[in-house]
Amino acid sequence: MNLGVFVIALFFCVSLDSSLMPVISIGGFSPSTTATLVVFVALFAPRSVALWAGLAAGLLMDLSIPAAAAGDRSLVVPGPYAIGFVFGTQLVLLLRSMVFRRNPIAVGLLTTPFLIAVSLAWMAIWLIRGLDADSILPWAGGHALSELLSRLVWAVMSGAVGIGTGWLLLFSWPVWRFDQSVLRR
Amino acid sequence: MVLCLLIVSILPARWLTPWSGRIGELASLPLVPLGDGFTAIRVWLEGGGGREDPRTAEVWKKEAGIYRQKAHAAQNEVRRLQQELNILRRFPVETETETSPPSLVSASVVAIDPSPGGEHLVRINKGLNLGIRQGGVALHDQDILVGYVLDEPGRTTATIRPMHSRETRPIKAVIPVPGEDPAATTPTEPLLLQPDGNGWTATVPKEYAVQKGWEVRLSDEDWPRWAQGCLLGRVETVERAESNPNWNELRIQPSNPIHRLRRILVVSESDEPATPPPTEGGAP
Repeated sequence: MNLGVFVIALFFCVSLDSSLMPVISIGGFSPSTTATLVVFVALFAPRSVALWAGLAAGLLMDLSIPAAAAGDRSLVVPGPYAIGFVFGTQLVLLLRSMVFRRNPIAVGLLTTPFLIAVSLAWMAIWLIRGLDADSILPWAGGHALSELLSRLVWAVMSGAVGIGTGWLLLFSWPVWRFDQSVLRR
Repeated sequence: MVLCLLIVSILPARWLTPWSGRIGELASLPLVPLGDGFTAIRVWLEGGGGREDPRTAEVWKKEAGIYRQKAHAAQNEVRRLQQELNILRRFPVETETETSPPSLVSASVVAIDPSPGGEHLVRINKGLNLGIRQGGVALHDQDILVGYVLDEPGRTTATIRPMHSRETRPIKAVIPVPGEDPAATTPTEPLLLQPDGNGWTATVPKEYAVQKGWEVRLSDEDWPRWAQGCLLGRVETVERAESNPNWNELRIQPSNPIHRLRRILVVSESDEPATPPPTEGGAP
């Protein structure tokens, strides 16, 4: 895989998610193109490369925006998305042999289970963090279950938008220079 | 790697806040230009086609009228002051020394005396080479007197003693009544402030008008002229003196202790020759 292309695409997608995608947000959640990018990489890259790509993408998401804020305090937690993305990538790696990889619908459809896995890991970590009375939680004032339900909506929405994003990514497939032997496995 | 991240992600907030925010800032630096561009597009998309609320426009028009009036009044005031200044310039009351321009040097605090019971002397990164002279005063925000240059300054550094240091001799100061025009206020009797290392104390007659929070400003002819009227601190407590019920004891808190500042302005006597006071019409 062409690492330079991945890095550029990753920065592009994370910026897009945090700056432009709120235009089409529903219920405060805007679709994630970063997730679609990671799914796309996980479909074509070797296993270890896909897992590292997932980890890097998740870590950048963790670090780029404070996860929680209360009063004049904000908290950046490296880990919840990073671990969630690794967990999600693992799921896509298991499922990738069952789908037509070069189909944008497959990329979009796999984004939904990917983000559900990410959300589960993310919620688990934040619930553990919530055991500390001093911790700030992202759903401060709300309920964890409603947060999870919102994230499920987010996953479905990202899957729908992911079809279009997947089509664009598949269009750029030659630039990525994926190892062809991976596709035959 | 994942295990490390898992451990980090469940660390208590108090262990994360000192460093994770910094890393976040660094990681998000490359995202800034792209984010700016996308935000501009989003604003354009969201705001495109939207029209200005007519009520807002009305409020803006009213505000514009108010500001226009204020600007007009200010212009009149400037004109009046200019006339007064021209009149005052006819009286060459200042001596040559007094008219010499001061040397203004902005300096960074580079070291603070760390000893707990010490004076908290401060070292700055400018010295003789850049015009700092013994007896110069250190200001913050152009109005707060925070210290003075101690001993003979070095070529590249100088030591500043905080105004409230125990080693500073008593200072004469006044407490202007807040809210009154300083020019119209009758000058109050100067107080003698006794520094104690954390601030100053002063004893005043019971009828002396003073309240907690009022400003205390320097009025001591032994100090350079550019330090006169500068803010020293604020009245923290007003208590009846134990020795005499007809007197009150004031405690004054420094406004901005120098050891908490990063940059200060040092005003010293300049080496430049004094300029003659201007005369009317600019003629010698």
